[in-house]
Amino acid sequence: MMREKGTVPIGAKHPSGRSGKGGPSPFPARRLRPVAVLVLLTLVLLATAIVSLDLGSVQLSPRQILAALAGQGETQHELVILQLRLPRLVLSILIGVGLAVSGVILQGITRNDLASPDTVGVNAGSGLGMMFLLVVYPTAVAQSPLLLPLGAVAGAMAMTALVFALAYRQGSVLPSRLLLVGIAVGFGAQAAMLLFSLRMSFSMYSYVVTWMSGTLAAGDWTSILLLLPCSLLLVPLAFSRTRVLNVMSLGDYLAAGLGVSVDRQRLLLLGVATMLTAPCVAIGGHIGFLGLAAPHLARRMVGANHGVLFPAAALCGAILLLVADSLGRHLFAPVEIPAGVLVGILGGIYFLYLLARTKG
Amino acid sequence: MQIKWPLIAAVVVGLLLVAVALSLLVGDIPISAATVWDALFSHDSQLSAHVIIRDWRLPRAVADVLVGASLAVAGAIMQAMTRNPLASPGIMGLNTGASFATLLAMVLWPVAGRCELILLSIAGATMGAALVYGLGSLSRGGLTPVRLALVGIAVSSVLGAIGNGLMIYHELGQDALLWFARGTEGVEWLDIRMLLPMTGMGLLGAMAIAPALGVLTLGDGVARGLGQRTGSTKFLAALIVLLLVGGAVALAGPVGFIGLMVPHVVRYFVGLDHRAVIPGSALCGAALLLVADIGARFATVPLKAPVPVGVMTALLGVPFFLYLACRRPTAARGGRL
Repeated sequence: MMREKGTVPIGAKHPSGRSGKGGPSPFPARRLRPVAVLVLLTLVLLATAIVSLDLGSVQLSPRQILAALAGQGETQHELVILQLRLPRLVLSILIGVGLAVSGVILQGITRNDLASPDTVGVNAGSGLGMMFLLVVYPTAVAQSPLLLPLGAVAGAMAMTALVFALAYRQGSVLPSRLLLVGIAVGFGAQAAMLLFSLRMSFSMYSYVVTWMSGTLAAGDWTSILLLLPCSLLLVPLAFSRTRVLNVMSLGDYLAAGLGVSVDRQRLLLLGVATMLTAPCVAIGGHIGFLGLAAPHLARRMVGANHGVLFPAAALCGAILLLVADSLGRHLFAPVEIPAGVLVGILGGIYFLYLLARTKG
Repeated sequence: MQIKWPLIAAVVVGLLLVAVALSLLVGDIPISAATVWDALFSHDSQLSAHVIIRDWRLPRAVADVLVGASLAVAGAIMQAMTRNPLASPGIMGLNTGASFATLLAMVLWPVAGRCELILLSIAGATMGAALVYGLGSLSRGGLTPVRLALVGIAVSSVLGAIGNGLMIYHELGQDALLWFARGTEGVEWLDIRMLLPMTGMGLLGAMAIAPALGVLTLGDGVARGLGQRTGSTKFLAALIVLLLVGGAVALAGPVGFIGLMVPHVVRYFVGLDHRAVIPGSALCGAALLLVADIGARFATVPLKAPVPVGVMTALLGVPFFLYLACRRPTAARGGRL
């Protein structure tokens, strides 16, 4: 135990003796505080969820909400709660968790603080796929509303595949090359999107701008059904890679020396991050800043051990998106401010505060 | 490398001159080379062709040269200062600041003309940079490159989100988009006269601090050991970037890719000596933007829609950047992003 004293990170006040059963974890000193933070975050999420169910133009008492949730309320109340507010609540949590988790994965495998789902081309691809459908096949899109999210998912997958393929060399995807390629491809896609948007009608352009800023206004149970299988499958898969990510943060050579097949794990994790982000973006639009900010917020609260970083980031993402969506519905009541706008503002300000307060 | 420099310089200057000439020759209305010559050197304001050359194509070419050179030099300075190959003027909050101020003006002051919008976007760019630097230096531990990038992204996110909200709430739609994507189309002599002092000072300043920048690329520790005041060099460099990019954004809106790409290309040919990188970037950036602008004018006809110059810079730049990124795994040798 004594030998670990020297490795206590700055700011961890607990003596390292707490990490008795810690085993080979590279982050021995932070056991108690992260758990407290996780509990706190969960409580905040619950509180936000309750407030979010309560906010809206139809005023409901807590008793009425409970009755509606149990299926025993008045028809109108049940409609408001079950068909309007609950789907958005669930959707905010799913999308928030998805984007935050994939942000953690991407920052982990690239060992880069600035990596987020949009740096590997997910946003660019989904936007391009959607705009292509809107401009080239406007009638088909009007007839089947499901086409747009599918187009966005397809675009995101295609664009990320392109980025991977271009960055792939001799069995491995180097993080630095991945980021460079992602940025270059992203620029190209942005240019193409600019061309598309100048050819759109005014109303279509407004729709696209709202979607691009990130909004959950179209959220219903169908979109949740699309999203839920992905989340249920991929989030646990990501959580199961905790140890791999922890070891990878030491650098490729050390990780390989410690027995991690770096290239294969990196490809797998990249795939997980993409598959997780693509449907989130297709349904919720470009709430990209969430994927960048949530991991940073979590890291500054619980440290860099992925075992606690994953759940903390997921909770942060869910809370941030939920708060943003509820406020966006409520603030300028008849006009809805897209959640992405508020995520940008709130997340950005809090992020700045954290940056100013913490060191390094 | 020393022997090659005059040759490279001659080739680039030649290309630049050809590009300027082409830019005067090419356009919707066919005008012969002889007429262009006459319009420049024996101008007759009664002839419409002469007026087109002098008041439409020439200012546009001059603006292309200024904007291209400014962005490329600013990119070179940023990449040297942050020792980050991916740094581009965008991360300093200049572009978002300018866009934000313009959107605000469109909402609060809809009668604002071109001149006012240009002045406002300079103010906005300054505000954006001041925010990023101010908030970045507030923090404990000072302003490290990574922190600068993070603060820049956060500030961009806040300002961009507010701007987006304004755009949606007030239904500005494509008006704003067209203004941001205008490029150098419709530039007037007045605009250039307003911005030339700023850009000129920036370019001269960049040449003046070029040797110091070269030393700075060796790292803060080495630079300090060699007797450089790294703090004041970085401050000057940031001021110059503000002058350059603020002017360019005001003149042509945010034109992507030049600031990121051109310095890479130039360093590939001339190495890391910034006494060569800075002027090289200026020349190449100017030539690239001219070519892109000519391409945009060509592409507008078959596509039957306006093609912003930003689309053309991306079209030219993306493949080359991909090639660089894939060819040299050490492209990121500036260290961690």
